[in-house]
Amino acid sequence: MALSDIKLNFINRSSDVNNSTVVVFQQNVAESFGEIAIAWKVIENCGRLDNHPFTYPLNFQIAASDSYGNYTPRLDAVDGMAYEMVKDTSGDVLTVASVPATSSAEVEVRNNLTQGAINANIYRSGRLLAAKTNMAPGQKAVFQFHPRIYIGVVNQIVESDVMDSAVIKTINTELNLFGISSADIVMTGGGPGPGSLPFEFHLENINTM
Amino acid sequence: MSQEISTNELKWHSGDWRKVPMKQEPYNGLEITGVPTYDDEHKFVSATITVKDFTKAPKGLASTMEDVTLADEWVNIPVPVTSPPSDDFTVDGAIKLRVGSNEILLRVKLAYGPEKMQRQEIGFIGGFPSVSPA
Repeated sequence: MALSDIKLNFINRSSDVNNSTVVVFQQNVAESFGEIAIAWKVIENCGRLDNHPFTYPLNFQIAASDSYGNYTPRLDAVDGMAYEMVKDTSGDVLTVASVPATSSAEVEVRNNLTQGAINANIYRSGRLLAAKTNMAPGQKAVFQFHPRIYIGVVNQIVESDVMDSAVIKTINTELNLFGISSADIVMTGGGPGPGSLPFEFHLENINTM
Repeated sequence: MSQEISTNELKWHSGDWRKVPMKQEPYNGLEITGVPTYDDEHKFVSATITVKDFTKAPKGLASTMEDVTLADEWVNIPVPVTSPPSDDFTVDGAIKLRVGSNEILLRVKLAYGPEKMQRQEIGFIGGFPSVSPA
């Protein structure tokens, strides 16, 4: 595990009786807020008083796929870097671009093929974090993430699912991870019948960097 | 003890912040700014924290907490006094400062937004240098 990883530990201290599923995601701030997001981490079957540790690395991997259905290997990415899909003597490949990203806080993926759209995917901890699809030649995907995650209860969702604005609007808790090296994310609320409380999240056992 | 105003200001926007504000409520999200003060030896003394809520006010409605120190106590975010009185300030919560390894961290726990679409902000949103580089 890299030194920069943030260790998070989800703890279910709710009164939930519906075996609810918890989803964690991030917003690509280079795109408009609330339009689309990917279910980055899904916590299932985490019963009352169970915990579920997971890691939030600060670095990413990126990959692309072309119109022929080819998927590139995942490349390690850091803020400020740019990548380009180009055709070389072997076929379509994703390489580090000679011109860096416009902003040092962003990661870019450019479609520098002469023809054919590509999809650009960005991963954190090996799981899909965000994607930009159907990029025509000359277009680029821009990814930027603040150190914050969104967490909420959503049913019938699996990791890498695309969440539309209607789903995103139901998730209203934002956890700010600036300066944190580890923390417990505690879920409370829930319960049966009319006395059921809204689910709430808070941080405990915080260690800072 | 004289105090210097630092340029190490903190500015943070909530995740729902829009570069182009909406034309109806909620007009925008939250903006939190912090201005630290340092003593003669450039050590951190306190910070003035301002929470500006744009939910119901297109130009924002600000609540300011002056001289927040490292007392390790939550400081409630006061409802700003306006004339005439209004209920446009939707923020309910508190802030506090905590010493990190290299900086003073600003922690929040608050809710804001329209009644039926309240959003929660939890955790650490930024920091000030423990020692002013100036």
